[in-house]
Amino acid sequence: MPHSAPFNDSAPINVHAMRAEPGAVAGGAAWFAEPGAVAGGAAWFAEPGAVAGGAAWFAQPQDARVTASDTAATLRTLPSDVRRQRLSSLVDKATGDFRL
Amino acid sequence: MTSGSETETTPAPQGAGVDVYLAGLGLRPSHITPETSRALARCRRIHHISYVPGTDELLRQYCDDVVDLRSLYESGSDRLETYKAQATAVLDSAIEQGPVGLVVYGHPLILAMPSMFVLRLGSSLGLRVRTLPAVSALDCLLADLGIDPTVTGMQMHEATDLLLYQRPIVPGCATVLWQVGSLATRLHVTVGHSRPERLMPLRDYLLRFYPPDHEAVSVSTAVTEDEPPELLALRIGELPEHSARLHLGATLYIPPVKSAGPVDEALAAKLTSTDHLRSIVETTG
Repeated sequence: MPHSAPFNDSAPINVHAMRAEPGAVAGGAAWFAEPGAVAGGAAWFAEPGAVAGGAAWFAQPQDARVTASDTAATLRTLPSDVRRQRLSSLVDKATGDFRL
Repeated sequence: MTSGSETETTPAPQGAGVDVYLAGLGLRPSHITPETSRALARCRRIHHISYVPGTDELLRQYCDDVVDLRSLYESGSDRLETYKAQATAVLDSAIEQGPVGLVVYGHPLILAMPSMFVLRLGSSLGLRVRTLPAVSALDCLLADLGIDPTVTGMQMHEATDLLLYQRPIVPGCATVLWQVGSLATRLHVTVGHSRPERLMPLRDYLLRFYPPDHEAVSVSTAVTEDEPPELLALRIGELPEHSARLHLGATLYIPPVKSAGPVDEALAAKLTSTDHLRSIVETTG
């Protein structure tokens, strides 16, 4: 496959100029494998509340799914297995709109 | 980079009282920022999700308690459930003994669902979650290909998301497609490679916007400073034929089609007009 010409005028790319063996892809470096995946779902970015500074981030929509007793301070008082179970349930509820 | 490396001349880490740091390692160790280094040195526990060899050892320079969250993956399991479990583990640690870190490959909020989950729920629980910027695969792709994304504009999509939501593509802008190598499944896979059939729906979708002979390039940035990026040039219409080479770490860059589209001639004429400049800028001082 010829690749000597730039792809287009405005964003020239010459693969040959950058790599001696165009078309060669080493066999799937394991460390690339999905450390997380997919910023998917319009719902995520549609939500308001992205404000720099920590606690304010994304504070609004999921609050409805977190009861008043679900604070770090109160969760800290629970036995570790109970706390972990409660957290797992909260994560489920807070991320129910994700498909990917 | 050693734990406790801060000196009197080193700026104090921002966000004292932070419960969770969301941090990224970039694509190679030299990408770790000083800000991230200082934050990691403050952590009582660091969780990571990184396949870069040596990550455990690297992070132990900052903190003795390093947890590899990749252990929560199971072959064939639903990745989304794994991400939730990973986020739960981080939140649990933060509640128990913050500050803790969640460290991923690249940028902490790009293709890193556990980070997003921690950010979303942690804030609701009253935890102070701070996201630290990091070098992403996109930053490296731009450098590897020599692209200024503002020249034509750039759109990006996760490949499965593109098909799932039928996202429209503007062919006059550059396009970046993430995770072509994990297209059309949410199940965790560590071995094998894609069959051509996997890429056919993506090819067909892209052909709604591009001619079959439109050339794209698959990019995998090197994880060491001495190696070149892995680049695979291909035509959109031939995407399935390259399925075996489009591995999990490959990002597909599709240059814009040549047509730049209509130009606003009135605005173009104003760009070098001093009268226009005076009309839009309030002179001060």
